[in-house]
Amino acid sequence: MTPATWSEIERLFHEALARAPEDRATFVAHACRGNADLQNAVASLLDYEPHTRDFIEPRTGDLRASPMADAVAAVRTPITRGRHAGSVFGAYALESLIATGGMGEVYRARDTRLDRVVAIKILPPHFADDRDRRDRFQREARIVSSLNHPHICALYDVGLHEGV
Amino acid sequence: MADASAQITDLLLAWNQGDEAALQELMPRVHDELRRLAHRCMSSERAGHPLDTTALVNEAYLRLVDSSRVRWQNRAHFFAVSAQLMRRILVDIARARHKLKRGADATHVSLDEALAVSHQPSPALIALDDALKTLAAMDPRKSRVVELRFFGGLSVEETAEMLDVAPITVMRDWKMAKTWLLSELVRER
Repeated sequence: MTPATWSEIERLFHEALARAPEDRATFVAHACRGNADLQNAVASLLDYEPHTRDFIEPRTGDLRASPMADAVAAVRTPITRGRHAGSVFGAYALESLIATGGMGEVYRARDTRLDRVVAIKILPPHFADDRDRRDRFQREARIVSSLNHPHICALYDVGLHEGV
Repeated sequence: MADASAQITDLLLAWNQGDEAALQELMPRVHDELRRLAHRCMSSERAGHPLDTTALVNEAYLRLVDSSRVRWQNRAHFFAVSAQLMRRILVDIARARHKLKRGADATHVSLDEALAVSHQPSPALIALDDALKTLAAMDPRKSRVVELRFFGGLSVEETAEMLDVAPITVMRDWKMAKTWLLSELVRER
């Protein structure tokens, strides 16, 4: 493949992706002006593109319960430890940092409506920004809240507050 | 261990100041640590455990470097070196394990196998390494983007800094490279 062909394929690939899926084939056919090799190359990439979401993505490992993942999160998240102490999230006043780990920080907080002490776990920013991770967190929350056991903490609430 | 960490941190800082000899001294030490971690990760007892190259390089970093003394650019340099070493180590392990010679049969895998590169690494890793060589011949920067991101765990921003291009360029390179690599891995079974 010549460098010119390669960069042409790349340009059309990106331009096609910027269009709605149903318009892409027409766009590519038109843009390739009868160059069947070029058209096939671009069309093939567009066919594979939907499958690439998880392909060779960094941080693909299952982040649950991995000591390495904790280390990763610690390095990747240069958050100021305990920066939420003193903040108010809805009805919860965060008092002090209890612990940190790969999955975020846990604060001692007060539920101002019911005047009781609660623990609040806050996800690291790169988790909170990731919809899959947020969904997983919500799912785990649903599961935990359905459990009632003296050795499993009772879950009262889960939510998003100004991106946190 | 604390002494070793201080020494390696010094080497990293010296290299980032432009001392190329420091890099020559740094590389074998990082290589040894990465190899040890990679072997443990890919050993048969951990079969089925996902391969997380990012975590491996991070663990090596945490063990070898005193992070309180380095800036993020130093860290990114460490990861960039590690990415290259990591790729070679993992592919060597994969090839040794599967005793596959490079060739038409070895270079292509099914779509499922390709997508499972981080779960059942060996065949897909070998295919990926071969495809990356082909990519490097056509478009060296894209191949480097993949190496830095997949084998080194660098973020888009860190990769952009290493390659001295805009983050948007890295994102476009990444998208194109990923798609092309996947199509290449599963082509002509």
